[in-house]
Amino acid sequence: MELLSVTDLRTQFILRKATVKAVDGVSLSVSKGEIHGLVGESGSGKSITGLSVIRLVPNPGRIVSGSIVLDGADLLTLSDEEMRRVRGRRISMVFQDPLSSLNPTFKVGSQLKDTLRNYDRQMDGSKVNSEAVELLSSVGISDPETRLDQYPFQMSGGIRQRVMIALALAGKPDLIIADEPTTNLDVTIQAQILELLMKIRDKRGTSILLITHNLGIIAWACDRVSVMYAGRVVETGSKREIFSRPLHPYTKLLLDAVPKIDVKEAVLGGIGGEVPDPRNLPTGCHFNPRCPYKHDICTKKDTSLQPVEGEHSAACLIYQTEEWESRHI
Amino acid sequence: MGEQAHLKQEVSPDKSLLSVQDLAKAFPVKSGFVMKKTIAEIGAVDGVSFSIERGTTLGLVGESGSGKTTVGRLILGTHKPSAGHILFNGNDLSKASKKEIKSVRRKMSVIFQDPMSSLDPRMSVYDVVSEPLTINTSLDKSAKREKVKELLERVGLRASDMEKYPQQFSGGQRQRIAIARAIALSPELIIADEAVSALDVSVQSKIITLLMSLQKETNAAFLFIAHDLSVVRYMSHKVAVMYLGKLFEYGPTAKIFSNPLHPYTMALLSAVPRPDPDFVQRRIILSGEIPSPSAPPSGCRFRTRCQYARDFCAEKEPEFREATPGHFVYCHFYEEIAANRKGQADSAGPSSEPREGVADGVQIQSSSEEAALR
Amino acid sequence: MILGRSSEQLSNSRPMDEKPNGQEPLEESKPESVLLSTVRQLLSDNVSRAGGIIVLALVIIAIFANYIAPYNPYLQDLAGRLAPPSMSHLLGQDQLGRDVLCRILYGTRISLEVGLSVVAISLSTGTVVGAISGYYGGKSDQVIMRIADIFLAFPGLILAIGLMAVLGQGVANVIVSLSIVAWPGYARVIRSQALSLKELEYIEAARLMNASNFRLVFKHIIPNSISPIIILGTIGIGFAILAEAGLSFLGLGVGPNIPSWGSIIADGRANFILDPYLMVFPGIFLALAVLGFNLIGDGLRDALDPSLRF
Repeated sequence: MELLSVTDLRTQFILRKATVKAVDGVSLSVSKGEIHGLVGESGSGKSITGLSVIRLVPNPGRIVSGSIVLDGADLLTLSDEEMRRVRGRRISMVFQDPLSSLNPTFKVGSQLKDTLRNYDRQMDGSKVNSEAVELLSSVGISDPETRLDQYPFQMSGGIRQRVMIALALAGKPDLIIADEPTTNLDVTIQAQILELLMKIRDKRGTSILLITHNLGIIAWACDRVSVMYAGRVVETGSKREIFSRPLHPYTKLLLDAVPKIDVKEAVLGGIGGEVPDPRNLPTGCHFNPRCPYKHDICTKKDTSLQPVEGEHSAACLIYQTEEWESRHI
Repeated sequence: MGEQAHLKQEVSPDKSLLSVQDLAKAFPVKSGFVMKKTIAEIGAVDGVSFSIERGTTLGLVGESGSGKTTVGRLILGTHKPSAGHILFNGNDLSKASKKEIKSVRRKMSVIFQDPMSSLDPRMSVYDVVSEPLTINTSLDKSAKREKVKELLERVGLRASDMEKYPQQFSGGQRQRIAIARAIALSPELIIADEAVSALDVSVQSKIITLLMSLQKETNAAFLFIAHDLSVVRYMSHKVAVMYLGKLFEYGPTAKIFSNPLHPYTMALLSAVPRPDPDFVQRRIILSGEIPSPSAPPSGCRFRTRCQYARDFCAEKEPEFREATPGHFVYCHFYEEIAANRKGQADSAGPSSEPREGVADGVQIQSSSEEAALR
Repeated sequence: MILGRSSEQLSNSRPMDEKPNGQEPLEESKPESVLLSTVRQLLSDNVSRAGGIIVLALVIIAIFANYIAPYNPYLQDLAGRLAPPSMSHLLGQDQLGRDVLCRILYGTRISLEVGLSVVAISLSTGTVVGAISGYYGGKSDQVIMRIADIFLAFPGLILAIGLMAVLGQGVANVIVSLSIVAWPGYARVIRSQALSLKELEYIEAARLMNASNFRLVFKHIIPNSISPIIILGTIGIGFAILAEAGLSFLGLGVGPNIPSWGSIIADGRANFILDPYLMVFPGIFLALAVLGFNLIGDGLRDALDPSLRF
């Protein structure tokens, strides 16, 4: 069952001297009760994609075209007022750095209670309080009553991030967008948070769009994956498909470049060249200057995600040649 | 029972390039208005010993509060140790004269994590890379230019990049500039303090490859401080695992990764996300937070989160014992734990339900939480 | 085979090898130095262009005063005392019959001389003291800052008056006393910059390669602290000009007869009923000069602000 369907999204930053095409034709879909991983390196546009879905793109960015359909309604057609009702109640967001997302001058309890009251004006004081306590313990915070009375700086990074997640759950959303939620956390704390996100999916059926640069996190927590490069999704598939049979050259090279912890490798892979400047993207396939399988046509024809093996799709012209199709019908 | 071998005897001081013995550093916590009084001490590093041989890499890993960065700073001389010794080429650095320190500094260099703040934005690439030469050698201008050209090409940049400024380069390229600067004086020891942590995967792999080829060429040793265990495995010959200022486990990379003996190391390794969806080894999810360095638990510092903790662990600090030659552990019960795990593995057979590990983890969580509440 | 590869080859091939010269910096062409791009922006922005024109005009006047001024500013003409503006004396004549326009034009020299010298001296002294104080820290930093505080405790003009009373009149003395008044402000700013900079990694990296403290302060800290000071300095020129005029107005400045704008205004005050123009015209020049430098300062602040770069 599809919950979110993004089609050909384009978000640009129009500056005095240039236009930055941060998101240049992104299509992806998230089902109900699915953790969908959006993986890419810096400059891939994954964070802006997340911000676009919840329509919080910072100035001077603008969503210039595409559609974002949540349960049948295109979010891009909603007014500001309507969108405000969507945020928190249908879609909420968890950011990378809880220190800057939580107001340092307010106790955690008051921030949480304010949020709860926002979603249900009728709630009386004691109900708000018990909801807040319930919320904190549901994200694995022990001794929640004490925590409500604390300020963010009194908490460790892991607890703060759990508070962020609690805030995101307050409105009982269908979809949570988590942008690098564990990047600033220690490995052992990260493990706890990933398990928590999976528990939320299992127990509440909440879908999560998990944005990260870490392929290990994708393999751990995600069900399906979209790989982004230079503003576009270059491959989509189930976790297993992506890792065992990567179709797009970028995905394959990226997987080769990650050092494996369980095996001592002889040589580490890599990708030649640099990520392109988003103000000046290559024509045709954005990856072509660095692609070892590049062909003339790659600089001329734009790529888009096409199914290659069932639902497993890639945006690469190799799979659209007659030769390929004839061998794989 | 395990031998009680003191680390000092592991390698004779004159064979190792760098030998650190019982290193400790406490930072005073001051309070007060005009006359600041020391009210407490944070034991950032508390009795760490290891050695690095020429041309090899020691990976120093740990999470926040482990003290690994402080160890790097102590070796470089940014801070003075509160206790312990640092021997470089057999010479005790705490007894060195100013002149000797200067000469030691020529043989050590550092690569920092953030390529933005580790290069002076007002200096051209040439200025940055030639600075160590300007200060420490008497090369004339043209000789320096030649050397800088050579260094830049060695790290994968172009000679023409000399005139440019660091801001014009990407993160990975800036790190290459930092590396060029670090090898300018052909150091014997390079301290890489989270040198690749801020880089993207594809860039990181290129820098790692560069560092390893440099090591082969120049026979420089590396102290590789990092939190990313996958990178550490790839690069290091030996690994040292730190937690809250203590050294928990130390030994050859292959042994530590294939047969970790300390419960923390086991948990750490299992917590590392792998790009492998079929990772079936039962995940150990530690409960609780890392304690604050200003108030570490009594006895063994890991006991509040350890799945094998017993009452004894709160009473007495463990000793650093040599389990197998070269492989040291800081834990009271590591032999029992190892035997236990072997027994479990044998009886259970190859585990095939990764999600079962979560159930395990939940159980572990609650028992540790109970332990913490005691 | 189209594309020349089979799917097997796709999954088995290795990526491109590291080429030694394969790295390209992001910007191909030689970049504009900060100086050039700043100047370019200053020229394009209307505000700073206006300021630039004013200052340029003043500078030309100051340099070429001899050639522009129709009369000798000291030439008295008692018959024409306090004469209003006329065809031969465009801005009139003062109480000793001297041509007001010429006096004002020559006054430009004094103003600019004082303004630029004061800022040059106080800025360089303040920078060095502030950088050293901030970098070394500790007791000497505390001592220096307390000394600076003592100077800053006095309202500027009062302190200047006091110093002038001790030193006596004259352009050089004015420059010295105004410099003494101005240096602590710059020292403070540079010191706080130094405090934050010295924790940065490039400072530590330099220290670890045996850089001397001198090198660290002069080659690393000071160049990176300079931008806020440039803006303050430009505006400081305006302040110095105004301060000098104030001192001369009070009779404690450059001395009698010397045509400072301030003293012309002072003359004008005594004779206001009979000849109001004596106050107005030098006042206009004074206002324009301060405005001109402030506009450039504003423009500089915008030009050097990276967030406004786009």
